Amino acid sequence: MPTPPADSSPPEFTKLRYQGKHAKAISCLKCSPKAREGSLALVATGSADNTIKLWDVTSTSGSCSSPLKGHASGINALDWSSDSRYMASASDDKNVRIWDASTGMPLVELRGHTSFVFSVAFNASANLLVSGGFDENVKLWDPRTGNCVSTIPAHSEPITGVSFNRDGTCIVSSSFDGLVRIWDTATSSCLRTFYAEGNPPVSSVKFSPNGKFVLAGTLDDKLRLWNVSNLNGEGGVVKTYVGHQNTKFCCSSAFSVFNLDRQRILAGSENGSVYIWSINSRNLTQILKEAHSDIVLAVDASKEREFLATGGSEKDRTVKFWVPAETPDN
Amino acid sequence: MNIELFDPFRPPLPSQIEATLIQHSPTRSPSTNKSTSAPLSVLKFNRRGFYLAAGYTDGTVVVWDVLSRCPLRRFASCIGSEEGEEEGGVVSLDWSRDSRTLLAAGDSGGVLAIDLSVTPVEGIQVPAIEGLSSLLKGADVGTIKSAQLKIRQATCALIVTTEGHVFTVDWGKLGKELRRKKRQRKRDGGGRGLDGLKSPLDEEETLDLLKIKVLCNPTPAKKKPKKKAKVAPKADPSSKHMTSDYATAASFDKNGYCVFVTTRDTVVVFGATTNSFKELYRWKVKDSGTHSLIKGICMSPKGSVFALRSRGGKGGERILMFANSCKDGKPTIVFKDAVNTDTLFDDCAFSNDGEHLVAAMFGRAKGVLLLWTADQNSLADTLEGPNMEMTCMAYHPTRSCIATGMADGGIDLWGIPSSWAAFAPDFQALPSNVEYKEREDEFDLDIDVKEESGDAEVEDVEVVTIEKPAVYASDSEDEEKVFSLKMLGFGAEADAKDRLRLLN
Repeated sequence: MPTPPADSSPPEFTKLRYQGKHAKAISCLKCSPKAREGSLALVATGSADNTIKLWDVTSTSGSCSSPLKGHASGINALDWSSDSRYMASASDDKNVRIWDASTGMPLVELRGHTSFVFSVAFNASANLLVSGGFDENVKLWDPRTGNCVSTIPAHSEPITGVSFNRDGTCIVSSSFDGLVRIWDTATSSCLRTFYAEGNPPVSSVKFSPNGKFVLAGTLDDKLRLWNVSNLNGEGGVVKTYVGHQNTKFCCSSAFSVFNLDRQRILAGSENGSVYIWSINSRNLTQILKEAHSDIVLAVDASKEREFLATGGSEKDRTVKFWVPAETPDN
Repeated sequence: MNIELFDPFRPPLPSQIEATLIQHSPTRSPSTNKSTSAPLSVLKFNRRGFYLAAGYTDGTVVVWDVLSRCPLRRFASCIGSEEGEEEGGVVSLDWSRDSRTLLAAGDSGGVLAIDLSVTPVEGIQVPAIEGLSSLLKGADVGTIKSAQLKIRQATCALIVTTEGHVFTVDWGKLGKELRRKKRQRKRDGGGRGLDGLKSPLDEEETLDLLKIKVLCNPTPAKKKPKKKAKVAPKADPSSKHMTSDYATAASFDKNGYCVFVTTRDTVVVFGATTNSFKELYRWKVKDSGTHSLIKGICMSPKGSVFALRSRGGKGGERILMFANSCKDGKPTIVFKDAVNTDTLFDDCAFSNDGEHLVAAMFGRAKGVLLLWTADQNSLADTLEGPNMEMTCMAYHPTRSCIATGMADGGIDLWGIPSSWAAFAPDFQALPSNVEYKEREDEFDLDIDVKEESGDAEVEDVEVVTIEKPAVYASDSEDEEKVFSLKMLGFGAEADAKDRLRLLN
């Protein structure tokens, strides 16, 4: 077990006073790769109230866009294009939509999944979009035309996460069938299959910033880091992070690596807290205790600075933002 | 990168068509309401294999995204038709090492250097043929047969003409001057864009800015070909009116230090320094045929060997493989079609790892690809294309994948069947039956909970630093700065940006 952070140690992150609210549970959120000049971050939140909101957060206050409406059901996942101009959203209405982030206008609707779409991601140049859903398929799309480029029958249970690696040559997918699979984007062929000991369902997955590892959350209260270049199977787990509660829901996790001296992994928990680990020591460095009054499904960290965003579920509905605490000596 | 994840022991040869890239009729020109595009004439992958540049016989160049199988940039009839001449097809395409520059050459003699790193992309027309002609005091130099960019110098190309000349042309100064004029014009105001205006430099100024070096200037043949416009670009001029110093093909070696020039039976090697080319040595091909005729040259990706397409005395063509350092003219291996002795090979290429050699035969109802193991002269596979004439071929630089261009404008991508072993984590393909020995505790019900030994996970991981894949170790640019073509946007916005702006 990791040692919990000593109460006496100063907290690494503190909450900003500015926070926001949705009409229903916040299911996903993503910090844009590039914020407006002068603001800390631009955060998109997706909610069960069928809308997406954009939060422009500065160190003292913030503002919220008018909600992006168009999906007929709740939003499950969001992603930004790397130039922060476009957003993709996956919804229970079985469709993926692409939005112009600056105007809030819907641009393209990607139809083809036969059940809820649970995960979506752009590749680095935004020439390709991947989505995964409860129809157990991973689909690749040309975002400009909305055409489905290929469909991979990837898993035997609903797919909970999909993501591209840094250069877009690989896709990782995770599923309730307990498997994490890595796919060659160009040929849609499977390159690796990983599973955790005891085969617990996998609730989320993403590549590390350099693409050499995948971080996957499993419904046995664990987060695991796999080395992608290792061989198939159970082996290859290089780090396990424990302490949080995650047995039922798809709580997300994120890398916070802007400060290279303070590389962290954060994850939401079903007890309303957010857990932050040091990547290499696997020790908890901070628990954002009772950050929300319900399950924390949505967490993300900015790539531009140390900045965290977290969102609460049905009883809470708020999005909160966290910045590094001021150390006593400055 | 995905390269590290590939199984090094997978069957390494493409065997089936896994995708076809089809250009939908462009929405911008409703007058040509055709569902198919012009036939393909040339294909070229970039260094990383992310993009496939395709040249069509109507002078169109399309850059395809290999991952999404969608066109990323499209330059309609960008070559050869600007002065209302008859439209020329694209004969040659080449990527610079950093993929920022794409060089296109047409059979009308036009050379276009396309800078893909700006939006909209900028093109420079390089009057290479005109330059050579004026340098040779108006000699008939024909048009372009092939054009290749100099390695690590994206403003210099090695060009072979249909009249057997080999020369390099450097347009670095021209590009600088054109960009300077463009900035100047911008400063001078005048709200008009670049496009409506005349070229900022007249023909003479342009030619003065080109640096041309002639490597091979054949003595004109006594019996000239009837008319240059009528010489079909694909058909090789018959060897009868070919003088002995008529160059048939030329290529840089892997590092760009040497230029290999072939005449009908001789290979001439030039050393390339920054400013000049010097003939180092030459050797005659020692082939069985008496009337051998070298048609093409192809360098292996590892740079240690190269292959020549040659027509021997007795009918069929063969492919001769030589060590890079060969000086005696003896091929290490001779490949030929063992079944049909009159086979004509239209193109050949090495596989991504250099271990196989592919020869393509286009001139029939179905294109055929022959794949040999490069070091043993054993035929590994024969691939037959669909019922359609094949027109060009290219091997992917990192994967087992061949792209073949078809006469109907489609591009077929040949790949390998997926490895099912990757699907089932514990699955292992066994060569024969083995007796399975079960582990002592394999079916025990009470599973010993393994001690969560923290020791196993103490090793530090590095999740941020990007490592350069070993295959690209010689690239000078950082991994983060590897050039990629950005998406242009949606609908009309993308259409407006997807065009070529000529600087001259």
